[in-house]
Amino acid sequence: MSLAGRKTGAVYAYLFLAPACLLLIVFRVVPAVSAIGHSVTSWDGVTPAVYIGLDNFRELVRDGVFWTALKNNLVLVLAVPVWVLVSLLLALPLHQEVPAWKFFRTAFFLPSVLSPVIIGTLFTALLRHDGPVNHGLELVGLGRVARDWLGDPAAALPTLTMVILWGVFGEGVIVFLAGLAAVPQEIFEAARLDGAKGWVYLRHIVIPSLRHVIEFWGVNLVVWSFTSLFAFVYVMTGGGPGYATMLVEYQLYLQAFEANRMGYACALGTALFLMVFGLILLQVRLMAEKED
Amino acid sequence: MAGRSAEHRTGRHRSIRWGRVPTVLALVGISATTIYPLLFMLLTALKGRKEYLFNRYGLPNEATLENFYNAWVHAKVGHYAVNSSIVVATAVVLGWVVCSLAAYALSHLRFPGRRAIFLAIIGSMMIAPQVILIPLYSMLISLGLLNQHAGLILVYVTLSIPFGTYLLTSYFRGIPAEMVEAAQVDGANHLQILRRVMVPIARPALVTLGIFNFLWMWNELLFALLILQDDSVRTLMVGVANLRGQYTTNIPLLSAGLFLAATPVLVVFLIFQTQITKGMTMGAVK
Repeated sequence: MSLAGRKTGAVYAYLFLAPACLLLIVFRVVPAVSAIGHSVTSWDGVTPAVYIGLDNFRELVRDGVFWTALKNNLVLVLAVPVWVLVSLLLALPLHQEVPAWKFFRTAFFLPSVLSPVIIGTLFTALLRHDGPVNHGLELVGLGRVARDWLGDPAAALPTLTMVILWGVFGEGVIVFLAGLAAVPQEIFEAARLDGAKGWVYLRHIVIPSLRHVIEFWGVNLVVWSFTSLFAFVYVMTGGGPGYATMLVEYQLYLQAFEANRMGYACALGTALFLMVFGLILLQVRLMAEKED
Repeated sequence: MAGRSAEHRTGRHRSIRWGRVPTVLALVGISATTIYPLLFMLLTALKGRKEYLFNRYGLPNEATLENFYNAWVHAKVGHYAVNSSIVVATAVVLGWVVCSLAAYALSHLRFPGRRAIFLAIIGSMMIAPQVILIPLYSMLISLGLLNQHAGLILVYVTLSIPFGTYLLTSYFRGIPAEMVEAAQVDGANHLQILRRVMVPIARPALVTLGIFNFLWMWNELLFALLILQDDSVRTLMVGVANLRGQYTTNIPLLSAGLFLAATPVLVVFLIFQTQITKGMTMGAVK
């Protein structure tokens, strides 16, 4: 290409990038900087913010609800390996193309396209004290286990975790199926000929050859568990009973839009940002690695 | 690839493998847990309110479409669906335009700072949506975009830029530079090259991106809840989330509303399953 051609190329390039960059700056970067700025203020969103130094963060450290929310978030993070393993275990037989595997693949993926609003509302109806789940338990003689699954303080968080797993495991299956298809199939054939089975097969053949995909999906789910569960909580429990299912992102929403404590909510947001930042950095690095 | 080895394998073993029976039964059981809730939703929606009281789990004796009508008209699901369609259709189209422009520059044009801009666009994903929520909200108020579809559309387009640009840039990179040069020799400018060369070739990637954006935008709650508070502009998921409060005791009507709200994504899913799975596995496997 001629020098002149290259120059017009650069002009075009900046013009073409302008809409994307402008939108990102106005609606993502500026608000992020503003959020961090407002985290050191007392602000109701209407009257001007007042600088109060680190008071919000001091309050945060002493805020019992925040620690409960953080603990609940960590419970969800601890559930991530289970979520990953469930998807992986279900992907294996599908990869080996058991009868009707295409049907199973579709069935597993089905919940992943549904909105958390729909999943949440549906399961609230299914899990009610007089709902089908409890009726089913009574039918098989497990009536003693029956309870108001989302209203019982001890059961609410595990139940929420299960519903979220229901919503997301199929996506993991699809990711692992793609991962399995990308591995040279001779590895699996050879392992099978050597008689590798069960745990040994999983531990020494499958997991090592899928290491990157497992890493990718695991990090994805951890980030997701910190930042994408608002709708589930909003629809199903509202953070309750008590604070049994309160999550950091939901507390942020309540502080900002129910209590009008925008400054404090910005401090919560900043804390959330710092927690997730490292994780997303890892995620982006994994994506960029693939790009090179 | 899996497909090839499959033909190979089924060619060799036509007999039933009994060892697989427990596995398949387990898979059937798990499929039942994903399909039954949706079936329950549909069957309940087809029952009258009275019938639901004594016949909760069976097939409806007298199937009625009354609930669908009531949900669509009285619970305003139809009205919300129109709002959702306006927002999502506009945001999907704008997403295509904004991301393909950026992706073309990042894949086929040479300019200082290319790699830095690429990384910055992808890196903006590091800012979780909740973090920007509050300043964004007050900014939209001051721009007069609260309770305006345009406000939500701009937010959705912005949120879709990192992944969309990533996906299209990867795809455009696979298109040979010679095709761009040949078009330049023919006197086409870059906008024409993008429209006449890139877009037709990259149609699969654009379809994937469009479906992907459609799905999450149609399903999104948090931003829709905050930006569109007025009932006249509300989107479907916000409307459905409110239905839940209004019709707690009328489960058949609630089910009908849910089913109507889920129908578009279920239809898109059944038609475009391959494209969806391709888009989803983009970042994981290459």
